[in-house]
Amino acid sequence: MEQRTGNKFIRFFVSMKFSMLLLAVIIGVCIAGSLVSSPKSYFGSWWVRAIAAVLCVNLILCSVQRLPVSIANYRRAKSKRIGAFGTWLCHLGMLLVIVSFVAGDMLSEDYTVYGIPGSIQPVADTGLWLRIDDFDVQLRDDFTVEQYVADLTVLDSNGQESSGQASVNHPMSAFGYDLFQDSTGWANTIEIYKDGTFQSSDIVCVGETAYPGDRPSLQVYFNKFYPDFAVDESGSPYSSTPLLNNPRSLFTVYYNGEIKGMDYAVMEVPVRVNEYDFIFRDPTEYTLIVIRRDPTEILVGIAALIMLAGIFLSFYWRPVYGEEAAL
Amino acid sequence: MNLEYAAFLLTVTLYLFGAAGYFVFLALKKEKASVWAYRFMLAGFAVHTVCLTARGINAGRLPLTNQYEFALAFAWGIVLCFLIFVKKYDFNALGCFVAPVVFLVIGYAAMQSKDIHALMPALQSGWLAFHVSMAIIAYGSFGVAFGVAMVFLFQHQLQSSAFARTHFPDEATLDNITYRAVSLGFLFLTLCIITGAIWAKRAWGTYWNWDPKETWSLITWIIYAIYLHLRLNKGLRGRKSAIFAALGFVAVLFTYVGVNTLLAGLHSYK
Repeated sequence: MEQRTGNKFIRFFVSMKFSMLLLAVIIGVCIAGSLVSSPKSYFGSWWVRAIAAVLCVNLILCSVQRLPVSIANYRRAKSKRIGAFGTWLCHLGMLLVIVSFVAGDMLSEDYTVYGIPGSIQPVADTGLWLRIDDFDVQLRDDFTVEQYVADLTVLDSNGQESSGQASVNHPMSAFGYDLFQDSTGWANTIEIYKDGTFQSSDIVCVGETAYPGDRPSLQVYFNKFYPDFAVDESGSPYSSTPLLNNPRSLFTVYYNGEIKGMDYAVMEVPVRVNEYDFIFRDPTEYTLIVIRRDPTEILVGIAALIMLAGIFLSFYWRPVYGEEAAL
Repeated sequence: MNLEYAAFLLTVTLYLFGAAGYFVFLALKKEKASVWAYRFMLAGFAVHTVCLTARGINAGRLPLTNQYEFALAFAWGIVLCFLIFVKKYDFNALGCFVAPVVFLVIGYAAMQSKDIHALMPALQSGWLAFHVSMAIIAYGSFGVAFGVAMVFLFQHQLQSSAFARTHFPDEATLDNITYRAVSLGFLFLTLCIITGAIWAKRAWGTYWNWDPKETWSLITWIIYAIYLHLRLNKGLRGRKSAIFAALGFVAVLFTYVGVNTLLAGLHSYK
């Protein structure tokens, strides 16, 4: 009785009805996923992965069930025999795409490093260091960006190094990792003085905070940078060009979490808040480099090729049978 | 007026005449109107090709990177597939339902900005041509499948007259043409998704970012996958099959127009 129930369950699990139901559910999941603000975490959630796992099991069972039929059709066919494996290959390819995508998600290494030219930083716990030798935002005459180019050197713990260039669409490879030019922004050096005495100097990117050494409750938040500061008719600030013609930095001073002041700093000109002076200088564009290693890359490529071959065979290389029909 | 704009206006006009000709053919049962309508579509396609070429020369790159250019290419892909299917199946009346779609898509193009902008770094890739070309053929095929499916859905009204029986294929043939168009589109949509994934890997380091355009391409792919499964394995035919093919094209249109206008993402290049 139990065995019969089990067989019934497996039969339903490999049935076309269940497969179609599953695909319909996936459509619903995808529609909802296209509306959420953080799709990566939505599609990475345990229940979406569970649905993908069910789809994989369904694909495996359907492939196992379909294989003898494909082999029989292959034997019966008079010509274009390989076409008998079209749908089977398509399912296998789809299965491999999902498996390699999930495996890639789990096994791939993904790090980000950002800094200004001349900076050198560790790449998480890889034992590698990344030195940003140079970074250039190449502009056209109309100030639109032609390309972001970063000259990089990766150093390992044995003193070996590998240098190259990373730009958008042209990643650099070093020590088995791919380095991608991801994004950019502005950084300033912020010097803090207390009653005229030097306290600290930090390179701070937009969106980061600087702290004077003696009083961590005082914070200077770097809101925004305007390389060519201007004010429009409504009084709103903007940057008229991306060139450093009239650089200003918008910052906010917090004390114990409360806003104490907000202002636009002119480069090299001290801004005083109580007994503290803040000096913004050396505006520089930083680059954010993404460093990735994906061991499933080849598997993804093979899976995609198998799926394409399967689709092509299914529709355009259908086996020709003699008097006997296909199973 | 430059050549590109003149060609664009002439293309819109010719397709309008084509759509009007097919309407006259269908409404007034004037056979000659369909012959002229086909000629207008053919001439429109030739001028359309000139328009795309001129756009490419003016822009100094393949004209496939913004809403205007893609709408222009999308309409071109539908007409190309339409002309191939008309030739292959000797089914000129297909234009009754495809020509209005073409006119709508090119009308959408007319509403978009025609300014030429330099490409942002992410779009400066050789994969762009492969990826978008695959999308054009896929969308074009699905557009034709939609047209045939609409013919099918109106078949019952049409079949009652001797005129319709002469000019429209029987239901089985219509069903088969829909299937052929969907299977061609499915192959090219798969290629489009794969080439897009390879490009994404080169540009951002990941194959898939769950960007709304990617997600909706996957949704469209699954809808057509369900259609093909049901047709090949469950004998889906007739009215249900036609409704499915038409629904698939609604997903195609949303992937193209809806996602770009309603949902922001990596593909929303301004």
